[in-house]
Amino acid sequence: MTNRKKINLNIPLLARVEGEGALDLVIENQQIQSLKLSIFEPPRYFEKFLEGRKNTEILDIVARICGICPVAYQMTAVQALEQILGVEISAWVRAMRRVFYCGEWIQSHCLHMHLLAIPDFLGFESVLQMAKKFPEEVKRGLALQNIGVELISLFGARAVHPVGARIGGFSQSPTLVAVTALLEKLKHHLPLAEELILWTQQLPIPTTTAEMTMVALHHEDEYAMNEGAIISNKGLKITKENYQTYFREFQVPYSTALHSLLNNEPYMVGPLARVCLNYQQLPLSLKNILKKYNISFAKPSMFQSVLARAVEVYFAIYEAISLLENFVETEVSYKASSIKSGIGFGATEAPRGLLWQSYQLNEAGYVTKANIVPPTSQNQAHIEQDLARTLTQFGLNKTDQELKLMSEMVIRNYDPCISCSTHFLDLRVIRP
Amino acid sequence: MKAVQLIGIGSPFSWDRVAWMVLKTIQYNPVIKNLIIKNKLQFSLLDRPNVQLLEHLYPEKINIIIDAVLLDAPFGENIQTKVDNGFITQLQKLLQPGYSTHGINLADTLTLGFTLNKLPQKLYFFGFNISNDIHCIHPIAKLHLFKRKIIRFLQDTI
Repeated sequence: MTNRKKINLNIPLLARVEGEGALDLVIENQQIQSLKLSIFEPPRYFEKFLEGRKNTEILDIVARICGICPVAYQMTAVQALEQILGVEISAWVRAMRRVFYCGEWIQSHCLHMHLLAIPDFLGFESVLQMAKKFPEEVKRGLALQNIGVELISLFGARAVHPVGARIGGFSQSPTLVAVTALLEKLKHHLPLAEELILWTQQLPIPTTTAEMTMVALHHEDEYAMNEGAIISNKGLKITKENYQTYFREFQVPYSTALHSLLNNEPYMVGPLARVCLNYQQLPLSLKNILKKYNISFAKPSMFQSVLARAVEVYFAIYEAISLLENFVETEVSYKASSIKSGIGFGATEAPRGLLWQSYQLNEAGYVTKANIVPPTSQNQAHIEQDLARTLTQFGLNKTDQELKLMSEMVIRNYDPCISCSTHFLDLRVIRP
Repeated sequence: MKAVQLIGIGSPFSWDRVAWMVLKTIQYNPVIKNLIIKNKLQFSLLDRPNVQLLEHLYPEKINIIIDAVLLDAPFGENIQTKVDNGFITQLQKLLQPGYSTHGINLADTLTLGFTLNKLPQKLYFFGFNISNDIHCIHPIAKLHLFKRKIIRFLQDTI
């Protein structure tokens, strides 16, 4: 506890997030005067790199934006490009793209939960310490993560920066033998995912109360992943084409990352927003599990994000099983397209939340303009708002070290992938 | 004769691709060719596997990890060692921070594997120093020597 009138807290480098950033916090008379989450990694200029590139090169380039969620960048870009080129994908491609995406959700969520977030809740410095006390839980997490990696590799030929996706579908179909073998593994892993939900539910997760604006894709017939309307819990329902009418990106002087607002207010994207907005679309068996363990998202708390991830790990395995049980090996794994000019839009649910992209192609099929809005930059303003709220509820008279740890927990809770959008944390607190 | 798995790790860019260069050319060596034909040698190239490396280790095989390392030493200096607790501690000190995904580097991954009892009994590490490359006149010759060292080890081990 500290009774100093003015506190200047600086977290110079945030551990266990992707990329680099810093947090400057000024507290005066037990009130936050200023809170700035500054991202100081240099911009990566991907949108500029894409200009002048042929449409067929785009998927391989955008896969390089992130080593953790390359599928999200590919699936969003391909949606926009196919809209321009007028490609109508087959039911097989639609289903297999969903399985491909399931793989990424599983691997990204498991990595985040076990290596980054859960050590916080259990009071460990890292997964290395946590593994000594919870070896079976960490082994289970690695096994689940691996099944996600295998799913990505099945369609992408490799897990990091996969190369299998192309406009119109996939370069080739996986073999029935490979799919059958993986299907058996997925079935074996489904009970492990249920165990993960139970374990996560029992974690000592801090409770915070706040009114949040949540945004996610929504599809009437399925748990939205690769397509749907953009909705919010405040009544928004728009198409991907209208995104820029409602969402505003802007630069803040202290950060290289853009901030994004909906109707001039911060908003949150990600697994918690998805589970809350699309609970009805979850499979009945999963809803029964949640009921059995008394899990509810009716009054969501920010730190329930980790539980939402566990729910989605189960969902993604369940969904992949459902879709692969009807798998048919095909020689027609993509639909050919001809060159067209125009503007196209893509919106999908990356593991960290809504990812929106738009492309403009000229008559020769080359990109003249690209716009990529990743989930981390959409969450940026909401992270600052959440930090102010959570730290105030936590107690601003806490020591700098306690405030630093809580700040890191809040930020990590969003699983910010700073190297995608920009990058991440260094806390500076001023208490004069 | 025990089967061997050579695991090259790193990205396919810059000198971080050392393992890629080694594994893609080593298979043309007659000794290696023979081992491949006899189904005694398997290759895996893993692009920044992070903790997923542990899922690629086989307890029934001799596992050899090849990776680029950053040492305060001349370019091409290399480390050849059996992976045990002592080596992991040493590696933790050697590896420079900042070259890892989510703060988990190779030493952390091996430490995690050791804690979870997921490391095979026969696990070896071959590291090739890629720092100070601008002072090295014949980098490819250094790499060639490194390859020969691995081949010799395979001949002696299998």
